[in-house]
Amino acid sequence: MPTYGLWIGLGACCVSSLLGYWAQRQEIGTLRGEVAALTEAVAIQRRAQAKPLTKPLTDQWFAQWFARPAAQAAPAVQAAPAAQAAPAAQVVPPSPSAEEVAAEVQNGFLREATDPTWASSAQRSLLDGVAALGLDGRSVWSLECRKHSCRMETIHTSADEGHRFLTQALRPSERPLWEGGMYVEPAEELSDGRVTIITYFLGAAKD
Amino acid sequence: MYLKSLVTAVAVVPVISLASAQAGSPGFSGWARPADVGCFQESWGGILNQCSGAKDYYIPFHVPTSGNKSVTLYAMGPNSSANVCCTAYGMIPTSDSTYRSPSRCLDAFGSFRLIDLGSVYVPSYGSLYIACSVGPGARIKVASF
Repeated sequence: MPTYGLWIGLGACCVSSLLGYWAQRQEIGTLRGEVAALTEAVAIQRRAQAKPLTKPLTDQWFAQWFARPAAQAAPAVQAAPAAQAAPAAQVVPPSPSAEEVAAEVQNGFLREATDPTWASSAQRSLLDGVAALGLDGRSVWSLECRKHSCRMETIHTSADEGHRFLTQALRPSERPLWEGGMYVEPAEELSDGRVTIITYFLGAAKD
Repeated sequence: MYLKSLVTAVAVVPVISLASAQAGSPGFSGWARPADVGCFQESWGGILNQCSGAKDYYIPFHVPTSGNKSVTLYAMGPNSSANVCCTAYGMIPTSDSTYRSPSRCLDAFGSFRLIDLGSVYVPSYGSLYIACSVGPGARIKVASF
């Protein structure tokens, strides 16, 4: 009699284990499906982000992008009836932060197509131009040009030296360092007191 | 009927043009570095650089609303060795970053000419100004956006 009970108990255990195993297999299968779907979604998003810019990174592009957050945040303009002449409080949309501007310009630059011939010529011209401004206390840390625009990072012995460089680089002239628009990020101070400055040279609007 | 419409159009267009014409800041409303102040003399609402070398001059704008601003100025250089070259700056209020328009110079000399600096975006609470390199004997009359 006790033997029968043992066998029944063992059988129940086996059935329970099999049911658990099948349940886990089902769950794992569902999870795998979800992971595959998420992977595909991420891949689609990455492909979308990697899509080349339809317009080059020009000063016009810059202005249009810059205008976009304000336009989105602006309240809808509605014609008020003459009877309700009370002036409505004007809501000034906030400006994008410096970080947002910097991130968007960088994204725009990285998504721009490349043209090795133009890039090589633009890099040479910029390096010559910076050298002509004088290299005392400054050096070009990195310089990359793509199809219409360039990104240059300079390193300076001090914040004052960085300011002097920018004053020269941005100055209007018959022979400017760059013909097109320029965007300069805030200088970043390193632990040793030196500063780095990132400057974007935007493609001329006529391009 | 066609003639009437044409006459009306011809009569109305100049009125609209006059009504929408830009007016600007007089040249003498600007600023020069302390060392260069003595170089700039007021002249018919504008400024004249009376020193022997090119000097920098800045004109700030009062900008009542943010948005894209088309910046122009009228200037005159006596000859090609005394040019006026300018650029416009849109300043972001929250950091020391800036957008600089293309740099543009006079393309002819001996009379006041328009320099078009293109469109510059001024963010909310931001500011707008131009900087010019003014050759000897050159003048800036008025700057507008």
